[in-house]
Amino acid sequence: MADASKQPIELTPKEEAAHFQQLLRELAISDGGVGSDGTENFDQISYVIKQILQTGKEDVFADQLTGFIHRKEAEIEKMCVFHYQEFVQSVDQLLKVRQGTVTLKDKIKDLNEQMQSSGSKTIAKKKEIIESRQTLLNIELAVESLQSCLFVLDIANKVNASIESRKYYSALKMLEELQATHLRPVTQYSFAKHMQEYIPIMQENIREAVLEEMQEWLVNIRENTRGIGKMALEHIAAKQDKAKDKAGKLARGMSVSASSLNLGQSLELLADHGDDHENDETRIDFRPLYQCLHIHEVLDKRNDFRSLYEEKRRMQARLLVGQRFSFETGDLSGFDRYLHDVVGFFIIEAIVMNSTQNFRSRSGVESLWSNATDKMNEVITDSLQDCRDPDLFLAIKLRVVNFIDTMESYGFAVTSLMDLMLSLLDRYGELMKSKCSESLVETVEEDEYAPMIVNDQQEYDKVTVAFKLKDDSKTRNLKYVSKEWASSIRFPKTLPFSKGFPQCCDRIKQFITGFYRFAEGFEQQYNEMDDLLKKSLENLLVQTLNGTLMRKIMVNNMSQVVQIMINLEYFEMACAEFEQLLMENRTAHKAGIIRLSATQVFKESRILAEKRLFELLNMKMDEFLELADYDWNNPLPAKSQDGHSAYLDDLVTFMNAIITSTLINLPSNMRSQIYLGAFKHLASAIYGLLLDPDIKRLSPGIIDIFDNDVAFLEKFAAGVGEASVTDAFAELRQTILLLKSSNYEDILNPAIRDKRYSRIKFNNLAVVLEKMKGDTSVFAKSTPAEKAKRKSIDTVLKGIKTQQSSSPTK
Amino acid sequence: MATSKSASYDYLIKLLLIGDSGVGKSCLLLRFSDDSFTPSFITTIGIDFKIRTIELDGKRIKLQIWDTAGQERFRTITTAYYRGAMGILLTYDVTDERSFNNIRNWIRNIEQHASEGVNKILVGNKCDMLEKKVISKEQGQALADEFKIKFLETSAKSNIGVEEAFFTLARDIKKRLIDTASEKPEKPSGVTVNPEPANRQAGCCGK
Repeated sequence: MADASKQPIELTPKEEAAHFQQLLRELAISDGGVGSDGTENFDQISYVIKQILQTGKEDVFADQLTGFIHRKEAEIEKMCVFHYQEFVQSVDQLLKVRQGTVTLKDKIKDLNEQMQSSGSKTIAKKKEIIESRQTLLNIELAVESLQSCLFVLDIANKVNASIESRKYYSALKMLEELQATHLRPVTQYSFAKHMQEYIPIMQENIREAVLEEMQEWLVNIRENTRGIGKMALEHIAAKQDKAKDKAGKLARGMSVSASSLNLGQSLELLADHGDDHENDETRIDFRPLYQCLHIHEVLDKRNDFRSLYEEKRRMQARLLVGQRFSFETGDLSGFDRYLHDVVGFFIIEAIVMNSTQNFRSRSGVESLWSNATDKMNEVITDSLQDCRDPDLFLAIKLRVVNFIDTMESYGFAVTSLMDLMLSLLDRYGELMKSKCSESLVETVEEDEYAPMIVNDQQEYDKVTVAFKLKDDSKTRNLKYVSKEWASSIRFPKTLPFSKGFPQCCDRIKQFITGFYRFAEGFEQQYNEMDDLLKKSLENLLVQTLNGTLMRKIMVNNMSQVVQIMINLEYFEMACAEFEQLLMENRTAHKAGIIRLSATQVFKESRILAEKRLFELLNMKMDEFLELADYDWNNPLPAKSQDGHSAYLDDLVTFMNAIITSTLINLPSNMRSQIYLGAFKHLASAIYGLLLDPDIKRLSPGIIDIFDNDVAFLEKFAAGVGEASVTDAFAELRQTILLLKSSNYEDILNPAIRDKRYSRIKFNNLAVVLEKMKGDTSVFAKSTPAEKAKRKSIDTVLKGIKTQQSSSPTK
Repeated sequence: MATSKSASYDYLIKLLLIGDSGVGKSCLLLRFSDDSFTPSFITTIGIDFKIRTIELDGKRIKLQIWDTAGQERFRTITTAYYRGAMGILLTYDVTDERSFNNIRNWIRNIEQHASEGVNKILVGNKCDMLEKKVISKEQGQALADEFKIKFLETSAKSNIGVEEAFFTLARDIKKRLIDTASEKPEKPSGVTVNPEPANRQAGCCGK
């Protein structure tokens, strides 16, 4: 086209035809390829057409174009004639193929039909298979689930079986496992839920089961504890005995100090102890307790159990310790059981405490123990109220000591029990004291108060045990002992004291030794005990013995009083022996001399007894004087010249009898004192007769009789062998002398008075002289001698009055 | 102090208690003089006496009663008192046969040492102890009859027959010594009356 555009005008009609042809060819060719070039072709065509139009050559071109179409149609015709045959053939062939295809199609259709029929069966089977497979899977799943459930259930059964066979711990463990692992996978099942809920109940059941077993154990152990306690006590007692033997041997062998000995003993005891405890433990099966503890621990309820156990034990302890028993019948079996129970109980406590951790606290056991000891103190002290037998007391004490030793060996504090021992000792001391007191009173009351007579060596030895006679005879008491005594022992022998004396000594010594026998075993308290004993002893000696003796001297029996005086002297000496005995028995680490105040008391009592003897003797003499039968009216001289009053015969005989039978036993110094006192009393009593205001007159005759009587008594007094006693009659004698002399005035003469009448008391003389005046009435006839005498008396009386007024003291 | 000036008595009678040791002589005397009793046994050493004034037929009579030791060893002391005695109580213990049998010995003692014609009475003491009694009343009476003396059973403890025994004896003595010798008119019991003559007389008569 570009060419056309370049040369649009110059072309000849020939050239133009050629050009259009060209263009048609090009267009035909381009028609051959319809598509992408279409637009281009269209553009080309449009361009060509446009140009043709513009140039006005459309006829040319339409000619050309018709030419072109004719040619082309010719070409197609030629072509179709050429290929016609072939075309027919192909159609035939195609028909045949079509025929074949139809048959084939039928065949295929048949085949398909056949296939379809057989395939439906297979499909059914396959469906079946698929279903079966599904079932199988389900079954497998079910089996698996069931097995896991069964496992759980099996465990549950095992738990029950374990509980039944008391394997609580494994049961508990299984439960725990069950809960923790096995139940988890099966939680979807309701039984599992139930189980889940049931597990705490099971645990509780287990807890209850072990608790029950523990309770049972606690009950059983109560019976066992008694046996354990008994064995422990016996064991310790045997140990102590052995130790004591050993100590005794040691002490005998060499002088080992007491303290080091004790130390050794305690060490030995400690060393021995290991076995004991083992022995004890092996005898008790603690499994239920440990199990219970273990279970509670596992359940994390240790604290609950601890307090529960503590409470149970506290209750048990209270019951145990509060048990009552009586000593009244003298039967100790109740007390034994009591101690066994307590010992057993606390041994178990100790074992439990030592064999567990964080279960029984030391402080808890100790407070239980301290409560128990307090209660024990109370119970035992109460029971002792009706105990009156010292032997029983001793038996009780031995048991308590044994108990203390045992408890101490198990490490329990025994200080408060020492208080019990002290109160026991207190009561025992009191009892012993009251027994001793009773027996002393009885002895004193029943004593015959006559010098004791020993008939043979045996009796003598018995006395010597009570009171060391031999030592006496060497020392100051020789004077008391009868003559044959001093030389050699010959039987029968009379001892100065009465038989009550050695009996009392014996009884007191028994008291002292009995007390220390009882005190044995608690050395720490010895200090107080020594004091306690000394106090009791003093009390016995002073209140009981001396008191009873003092009451006894109030009886109106002189010989008894004399004997009591002698006995008192001996009691005074015996005090030294008691002191000695106290010093020997008291604790070793105490020194110093023990002095009993009773010594002084006996001494003072002896003086009282002496006074009482005076009283009694004077009373007797007064009684004799009651019988005096002086005839005051008789102005005549005495009937018989040497005659003394008859009542004095009896008096002298009686005095003689007293002197030879009763007073003879007294030491001589005391004797002379008593004689002097007695005669003084007698003299003043007789003088008293003269002074009696009811007797108005004294005749010279009566003075003669008195002269005789006094002479008789003086003779008797001289005869008793005590030079000084005649002095008792001095005033009486001098008065009589003066009255019988004719010179009453002599008394006023100091020289004569000093020489002869020194003992005359003016007061008394005045009274007597007044009575000597005779009948002073106006009507009385008086001889000159009588008048002179009266005058002389008046002079003397006046003299006396002057002297008395000048020296009022006289 | 009592003196004779007030004439506290009209007559003095001396009695003596004898018998074996332990028959209760001192107890009888204690019962009679002090109206008391002590159960404990106290040996009388040697001799003792008590005085009690009684009234008989309106007369005040002082009884001086001597209590002797029953024990053999005091025999020398006690026999000295036989002579002065106007009446003797022979005592035995109804529970002790030996003491009863010994009464014959005591009577022999009296015959030897006492004044002639001395009044006697047989006393069986402790008659309260029925269950221990071995000497019957009849035996006692028979013995008394044999010696022609009076007899009484007594108990110092229960105060049975004690007064009676002493009074009986005192009455007999009064009858024998005082009433029979009363040709001398009795002195009125005035303030200064001296009973001595009667007393002396009694003593003399006893010889």
